[in-house]
Amino acid sequence: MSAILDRSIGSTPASSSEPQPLAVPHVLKGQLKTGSEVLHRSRDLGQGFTTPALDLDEAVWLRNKPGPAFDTPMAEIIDFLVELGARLNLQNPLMREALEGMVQVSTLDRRILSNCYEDMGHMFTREVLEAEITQSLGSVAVIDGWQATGHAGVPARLRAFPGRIVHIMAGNSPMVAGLSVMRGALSKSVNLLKMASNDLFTPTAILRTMAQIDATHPVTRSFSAVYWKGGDASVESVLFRPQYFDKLVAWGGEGAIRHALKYVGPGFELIAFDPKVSVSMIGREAFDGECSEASLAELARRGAADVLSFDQDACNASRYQFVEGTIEQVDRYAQQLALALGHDVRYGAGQGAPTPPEIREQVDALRNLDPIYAVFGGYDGRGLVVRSDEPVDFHPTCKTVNVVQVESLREALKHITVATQTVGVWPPSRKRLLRDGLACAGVQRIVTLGEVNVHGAVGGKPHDASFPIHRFMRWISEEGAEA
Amino acid sequence: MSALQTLTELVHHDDPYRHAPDNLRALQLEAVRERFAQRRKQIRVLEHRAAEAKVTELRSLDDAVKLLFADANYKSYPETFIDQGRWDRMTLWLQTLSTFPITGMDYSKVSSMDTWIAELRRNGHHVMSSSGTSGKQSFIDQSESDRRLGAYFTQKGLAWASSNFRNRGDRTYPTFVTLPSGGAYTATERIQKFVDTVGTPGDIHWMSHVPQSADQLLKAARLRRAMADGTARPSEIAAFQAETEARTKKIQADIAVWMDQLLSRRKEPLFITGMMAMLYAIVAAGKARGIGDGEFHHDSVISIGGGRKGANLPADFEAQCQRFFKLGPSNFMDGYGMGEISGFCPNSHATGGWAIPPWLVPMVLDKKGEVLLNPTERSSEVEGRMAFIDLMADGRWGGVISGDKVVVDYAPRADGLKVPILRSVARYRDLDEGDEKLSCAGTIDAYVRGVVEA
Repeated sequence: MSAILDRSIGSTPASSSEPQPLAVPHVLKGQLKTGSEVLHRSRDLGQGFTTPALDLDEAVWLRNKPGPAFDTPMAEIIDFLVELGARLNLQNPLMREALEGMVQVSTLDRRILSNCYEDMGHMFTREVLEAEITQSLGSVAVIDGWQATGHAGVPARLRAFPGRIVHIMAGNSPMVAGLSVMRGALSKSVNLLKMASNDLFTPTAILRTMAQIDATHPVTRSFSAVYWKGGDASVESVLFRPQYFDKLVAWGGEGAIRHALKYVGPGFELIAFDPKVSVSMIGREAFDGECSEASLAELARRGAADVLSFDQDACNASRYQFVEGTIEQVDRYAQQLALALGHDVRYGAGQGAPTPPEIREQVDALRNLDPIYAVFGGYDGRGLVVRSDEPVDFHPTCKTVNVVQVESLREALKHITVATQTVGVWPPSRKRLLRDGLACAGVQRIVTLGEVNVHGAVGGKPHDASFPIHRFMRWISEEGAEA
Repeated sequence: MSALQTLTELVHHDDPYRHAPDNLRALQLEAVRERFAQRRKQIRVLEHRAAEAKVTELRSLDDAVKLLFADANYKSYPETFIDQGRWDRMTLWLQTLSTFPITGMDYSKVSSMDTWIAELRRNGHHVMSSSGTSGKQSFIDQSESDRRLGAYFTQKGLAWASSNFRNRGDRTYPTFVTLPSGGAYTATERIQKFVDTVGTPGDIHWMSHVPQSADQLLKAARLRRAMADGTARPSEIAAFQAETEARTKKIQADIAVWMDQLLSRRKEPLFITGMMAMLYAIVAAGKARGIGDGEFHHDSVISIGGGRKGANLPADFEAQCQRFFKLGPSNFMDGYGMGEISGFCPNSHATGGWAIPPWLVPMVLDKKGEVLLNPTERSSEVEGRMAFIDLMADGRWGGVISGDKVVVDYAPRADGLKVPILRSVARYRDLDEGDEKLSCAGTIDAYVRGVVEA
């Protein structure tokens, strides 16, 4: 008998020592649905979870009827969302319960998850909601009804008509769930939220809180949150059709976007929040004058805050920092940065997981090429910084930063690509000088160093170089004389 | 005689698998200690790794887990060195992973990756490069001894697994190789040297003759980077795509001719060697021509490796190959190995596994590659990530961690085997082990459409 016949290729059954699978509920149009008909595995946590069976008929809103909130006045929706926001914190037992689940499926630690839940209400405050809707659509009138326009001489009435949206969510930050609900609700659309395996609890906790306020409210009935395994053709090939949904909103995850592209076609559009890389730029002013270690440490704390965003597993987390200065100056900063990475920030842990082997091996090689490269910090998960004169060719992640020495920040523009999202700049005065060059190269957001996750970043600002709510709408015109 | 000597002497034994010492595991640990003590003085990255992990001596094999090198190590050079033609820096990098000093390099002769490799060879460093279909190439230093042993191991392993080959006497074979000729520094070279010793002169057939050049792979990698940073012009992308297409067509035409020859000579005793996936291509081509199962000459020898390598093959492709060629103990050798280790593990027909030679110290780790898993009193089988310490590796450190998920049986107690065997092999990245973890973080790779391959 030949060896090749007896080869077993495939996975082996789970060992009996594995923990009990987590029970993950669904929420469908305000109704909680529990059950454990389907067992899923979670690759990263080694822990399985169960969900109710997905009834595909329940997951859609048929086109022969308008969505529940299509004609609800914006003022009423905002009032409802403000009330929701007031309950999105850890006083709320539903959010506390979600937190306990999240601790088991998220790579973020309890402190960061708690901070997210405590802060999430901010994006549901009245001023944020109003800024978001007026910046996105120009006026509330155009979504609440038909707005007359006489441009170019032809009379017409325009309406931002609500859409039918399926959201493929990312789970690296619970804030993704908050943002999706906030924007989906403001657009008055119907929204199917497809949860990610690393956030199986935040979306349903928000929707359950809505139902607690008013289970029959049009906004409550406009949302469902469910899980199926991304790419599962038995679900996606059925649901991803223009007859059910106009738009598919995909958050990052190249794989998710590639899956979704299979179904994109006439009448079914992709709105992609692309997977992104972010960087920092520090001008030579940082080293002006006496430049004490204390002032450099302060600057490094700003630099580290941007790196640590969601444990550096976010599109806005800085990975490369371009620094103007001599090698000695740049190394001083790199040294301070490595220290600063060891301190907690609101959405990032000072003590992270140890550096993964694939990065360690690359950094080991560079360490041996001293002085072309210099390495600061260590592999213990408290921060690792590699200084070089060209960006390294591995992807710095897991609290790894590549500090690149440059002659001028203008020179660093050549390293900015269509994949670059946010650039944190120091000192703030350099932003104005760099912003056109950065935008031209592909950047979408320019902030002061250290303010990537500043309180108040959400509300009335673009995301991924556009206004999402504007894109969620179907813009309809009714033209010619009215009678 | 030291433990290291005892085990490495077995290289010359005709059946090291049934004549391994009773205290194999203890001897292996002792031999690993010897090798480590020797190599850490020679190999800078190993010394750094040991210092970082605070490993000064190996109390047990557990201490060696942190000393294993992944494939990434051998491609850890900064690509800017190549872009800027800094071959001296590339040498500096290679030196950090090499046992022997790299001296005598004449950089006036070096103007490309091909010439850099040629100059290294002239100085006794037989660098082996991954054929890297996409992404970065790896470079693994081999000494003169490593290179010689490569062909020797192939001959020994084949003789052990296939009785036709073992009893071939002076016979040479019309030989068909399922690989392109002339990959001067890829794994092909190992096969080439060996094939020259068993193939009938003038009757050795390589699957294609489109040369593989390191510079060409490099060109692809450069273009990919230019595409990423937005500096590649449309005309450059178009030209490269056209070149790649022409090359693919030429390769396909070569393969068609080769396939016809191979199938038309099936009634002669042939030697067929190469990759598993291509073996199935022969079956499919044969069946398409109406050739039935079992038509190949019973004195033929078929020697393969490479597993599935991600190829898209039907679930029963192995059974189909088995029937088509009547694969069995007389005519078949299936080796499990990888570029970073000397030789390979030949298949053991009686057990259906692969026998691990005494000089390859197997280590089965948890999935993350952090913890050594050992057999227990209840079970001699261990499942996890495959790693080895290759006691024969000369030009480099022999500690290697793979991407393979395996089951190793430390006490097969069958067919007189006194070595552990591998009972199953799969690649972690081919396994469906769960769900996507979505994140908005990404890399430029998602923005470069069309994997540029050479």
